[in-house]
Amino acid sequence: MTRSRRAVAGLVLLALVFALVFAGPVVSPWSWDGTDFAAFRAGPSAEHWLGTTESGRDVFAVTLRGARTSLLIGLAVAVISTGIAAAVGTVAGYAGGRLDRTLMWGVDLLIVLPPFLVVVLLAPRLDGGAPLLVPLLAAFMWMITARMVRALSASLRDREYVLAARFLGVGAPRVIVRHVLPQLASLLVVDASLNVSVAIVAESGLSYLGLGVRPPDVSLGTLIADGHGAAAASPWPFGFAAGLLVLIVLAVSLLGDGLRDVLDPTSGGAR
Amino acid sequence: MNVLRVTDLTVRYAPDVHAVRDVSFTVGSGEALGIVGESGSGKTALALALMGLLPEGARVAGSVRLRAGELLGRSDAELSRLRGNDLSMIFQDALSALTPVRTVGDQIAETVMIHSGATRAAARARAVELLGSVGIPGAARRARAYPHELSGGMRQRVMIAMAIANEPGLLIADEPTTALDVTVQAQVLDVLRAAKEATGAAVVLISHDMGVVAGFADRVMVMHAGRAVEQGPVEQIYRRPVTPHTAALLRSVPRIGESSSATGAVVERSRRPVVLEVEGLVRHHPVYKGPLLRRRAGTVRAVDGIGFDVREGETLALVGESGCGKTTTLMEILRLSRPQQGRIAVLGHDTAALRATHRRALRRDVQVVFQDPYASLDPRMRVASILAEPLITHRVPPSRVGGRVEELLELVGLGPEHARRFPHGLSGGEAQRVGIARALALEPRLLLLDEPVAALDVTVQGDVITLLEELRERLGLAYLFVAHDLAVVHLIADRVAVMYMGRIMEIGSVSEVYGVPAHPYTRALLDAVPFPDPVLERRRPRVLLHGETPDPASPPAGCRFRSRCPRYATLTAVDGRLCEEHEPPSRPLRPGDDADQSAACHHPLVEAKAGL
Amino acid sequence: MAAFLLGRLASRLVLAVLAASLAYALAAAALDPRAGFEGRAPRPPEAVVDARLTALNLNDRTPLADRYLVWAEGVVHGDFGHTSDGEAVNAELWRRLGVSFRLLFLGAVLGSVLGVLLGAYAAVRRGRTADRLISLGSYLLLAVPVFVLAVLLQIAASRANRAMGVQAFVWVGEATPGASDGVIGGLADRARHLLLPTVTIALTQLGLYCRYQRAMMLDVLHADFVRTARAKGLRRRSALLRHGLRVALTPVTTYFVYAFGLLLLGGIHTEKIFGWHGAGEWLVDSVARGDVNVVAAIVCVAVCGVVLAGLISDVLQGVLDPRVRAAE
Repeated sequence: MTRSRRAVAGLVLLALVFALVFAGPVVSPWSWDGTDFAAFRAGPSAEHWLGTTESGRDVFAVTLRGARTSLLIGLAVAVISTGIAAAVGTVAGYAGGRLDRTLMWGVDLLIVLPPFLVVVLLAPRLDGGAPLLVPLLAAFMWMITARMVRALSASLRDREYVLAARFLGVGAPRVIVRHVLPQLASLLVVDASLNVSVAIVAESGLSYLGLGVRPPDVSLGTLIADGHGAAAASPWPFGFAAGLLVLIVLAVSLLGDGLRDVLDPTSGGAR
Repeated sequence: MNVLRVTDLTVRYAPDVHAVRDVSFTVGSGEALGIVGESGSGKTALALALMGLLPEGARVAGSVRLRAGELLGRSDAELSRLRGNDLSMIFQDALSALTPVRTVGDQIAETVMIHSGATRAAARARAVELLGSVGIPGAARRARAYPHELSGGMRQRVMIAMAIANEPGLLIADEPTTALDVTVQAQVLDVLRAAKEATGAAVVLISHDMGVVAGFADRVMVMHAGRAVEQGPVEQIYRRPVTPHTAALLRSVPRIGESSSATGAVVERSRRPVVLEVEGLVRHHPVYKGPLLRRRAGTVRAVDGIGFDVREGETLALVGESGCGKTTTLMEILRLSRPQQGRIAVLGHDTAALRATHRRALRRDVQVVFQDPYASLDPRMRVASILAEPLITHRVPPSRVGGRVEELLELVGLGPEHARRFPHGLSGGEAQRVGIARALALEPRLLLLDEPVAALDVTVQGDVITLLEELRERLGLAYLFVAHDLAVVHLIADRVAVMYMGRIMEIGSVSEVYGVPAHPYTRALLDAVPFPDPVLERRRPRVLLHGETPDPASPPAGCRFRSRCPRYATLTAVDGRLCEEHEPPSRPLRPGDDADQSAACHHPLVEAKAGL
Repeated sequence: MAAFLLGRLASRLVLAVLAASLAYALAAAALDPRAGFEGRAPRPPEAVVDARLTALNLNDRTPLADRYLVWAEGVVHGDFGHTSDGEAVNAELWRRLGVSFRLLFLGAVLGSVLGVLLGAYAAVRRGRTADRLISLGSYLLLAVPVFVLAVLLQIAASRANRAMGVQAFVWVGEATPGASDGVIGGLADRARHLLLPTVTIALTQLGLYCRYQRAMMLDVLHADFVRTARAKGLRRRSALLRHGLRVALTPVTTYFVYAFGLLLLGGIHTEKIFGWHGAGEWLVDSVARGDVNVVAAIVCVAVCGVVLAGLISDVLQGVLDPRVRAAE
């Protein structure tokens, strides 16, 4: 009961955020990249609902734009990284033997190399392009999931119905697709949803340091960085961006955890 | 005097899910009450209710009086003063019931300390003494072992030691031997019996096994769907059951000694074609150890040179205790590739010489049915898709798949309405029928059956065995049947091979092997099977095996059964030398005779008989 | 036990060496120190830039393999080379690592220990008010990124300062420059500076450990061996503490490495926001400057940190669970 309630709460929150992010710009009188030379660092007013930034941008419009960027990056990264994890994990787990050892050794190597540091290191080469940030983040987020998928696939390999399929003469790729992957579907869905929040935090963390999304484009990270200096005096630019970020992450993790409990009652709660 | 008096006990989980309904019984001091019933009959819920250990959310009503005191409605604090002291429980699966990260000595000592306030040293000493009393050799050393370092039988002894530590007035044993091999089960039951005698405790023994209860209990209570359907003295229940449920339960228990219904084919064995031939099959698993460079530390000889053949229309059973290599043998055959050593020929094709396409084609002729019916069906596929999978894999035209699926369902006694169900919507027996139907989809000639009825309730077991027999006759199949249950094997098999530590100890027709066992191990296995008749079970003479199967990585030199062999123990030093120095080859017992019983023993029991 | 650890150590060392080499290769390939020199005004002649770059082993016209060998030889002798300004990396590296360590250590220890305790407590009180509050809190903590949490704490602290009329909370840098009230005063000043960053780090780690420990503890709540312990006469709480907690702690130790990675990441943001001149801040600045040797050195240290964390987790696992020891 509480399980599904948690998932529903997350889903509702997320739907609200999506509605705000995609419908907000339509109703807002200001575009995100427009500058109002008459109002710098203004408080909320009828014209600027949440005030303006130091450079005269409309806080409401620019923050929604930033949230849109962050959300899209988060979704794309999660889908790609979970996809890589599923592919590597099932192949390693089902094949076993040398292929398994080689793949897992590679995974270990990538785990030892702190992913965030590597992304920081490579980020300057991106020249601010969000599309390139996506594969970079995805490439360093899939390893832990891959390990879990591998362990599960390896245990499924000796499950009797998988053995039965093998002894019926069903080939390995077909066994993986028909019998192994469907069992992991719930894990993968949950993992992908939790990865969305990890990816959004990672993206905004990078952007906060000036290493992710870069001007003229904005993300929640850059907005928080810009707003933080003046946060005490004019709280809106910082507060709205930070609040939206927290809300998104909270909604996604509620949804992910709720889904996990609904789909897989045997598992505990956190990763 | 009554130790335990239970009146109208009812246990509910959800408002309308009754696990136990209006159960009443008493147990006297020194008396053993057996509670029998199939899975889901409410036995375990009853035991937990007595202990006050039901999960939160369970509602209990009625009365449980231990000596004079009422147990229901007491607080956890009050109950915990009684638990382990006045009443204690032996759980089913000792591996998960013992804390994995603490030594067994510690865990027993803790029981002592909680209630007696003894010092740690005194409690430890008492723990070692208790371990000795339940027959654990080297008790002082074993007290420092962790649960995973002990064998299943040893762990169950530890559970018993823990339960009797404070000499409680009531002992509840919930399926205490279910996970154990028969020879070990017999030992553990003896320990439990001795513990009961020594402490004079009242014992409640819960079991699904009619044989175990027949040998142990003074009185029996039969449970069905949460109710106590019948109770009375053990002889009365077994000999003159009143309710139809008890009668049916007793009837469905397979017994050794009744005439086997397996008649075999009419044509003489030597004229029938050989379907499967195995010669000198070996499967060794290397064991690696060492921190830096993993070097080979030893070899587990899972299968160590065995040979047999299966002919059309007959069933060969491989029996033995866990770890004897019977399932490994099955898997080696199913791989259809070159074995480490030896030869496997299926329908005349040597598996070592098979090419990929040929191997795939041969898979149609060799199929398998597994033990756990639910685990062997993909939980996310409907029955129709499960049955269609082999057909699609082997390119049966899609237009014919639907018809064939219906045919198969009918063949195994299921209706077309089952096709749309998911496995979890089937009963255990139905699920196993689906597993059998899938194996038959491609019209194989050899079926490998890995404990196909071991996971089923006894009443369902009989039906599935009957189905398997019918199918064999109708379709002219050959079966290789792997099982640990000698009574089931007796029902279905024509021939039987007894395995021990990777070798076949004895092989022959069922009537010969069961009637005049030649190998001491076969004899001991047969003796250890509990017989579902209280009078016969207690009266028959039997030889119990000592100890447990040795480490498979280092079998004893010479005959590998030597360390447990009751016959070896009685031999003179001169006769025994042969057992110590030479591994006995499998030899036909009556050369020239048309019977085909062989045993791998230097001093078989049959020769001894012939000498008299 | 010793053999088990030795085995893990060896395989992890191999991984560490490879990961460090990979880190250098990535840094050397991705960063562009030449741009820094060429951007100077007046622009130095190309030959001068080349010579300078070669002297610092930063010349992108030297094959990567050669640069790697020079670097690796230095590292083997404990020398991480020079910054693009020609300073030795080592001295500055150790100083900054000290700063980072002082920043992270206390928070990490406090956060993980408190998190484990709170998580276990919540699981035991499952479904009650305490559990709900702790769970809600951990969800919120996990949803608030470090750089938001730190700023929020700063805002709250400055409000508090204003409300009380005294500078009770201070947070810029490690110490107040120029203020010296002897040893005790100096230490007190440092402690005051340490407060907010430590709380930041501790809270993020706390959320993480609390959620995980709660989940692991829930798994053993209904374990057979806990039931056995109660059947022996232990009350529910002592059965859970004496038998459940230790089993539930083992999986958390494997989580240690993951949490350590997040700690490093949180450290970078915390240093930036609280103005501590630690290794994380240096890394970000050096990446922007294209300072290959500094970046490689810091990543190397981080790799060693992760390997060490893995080793500590192995030791803890071996101590807590005899089955792990036996597996090797």
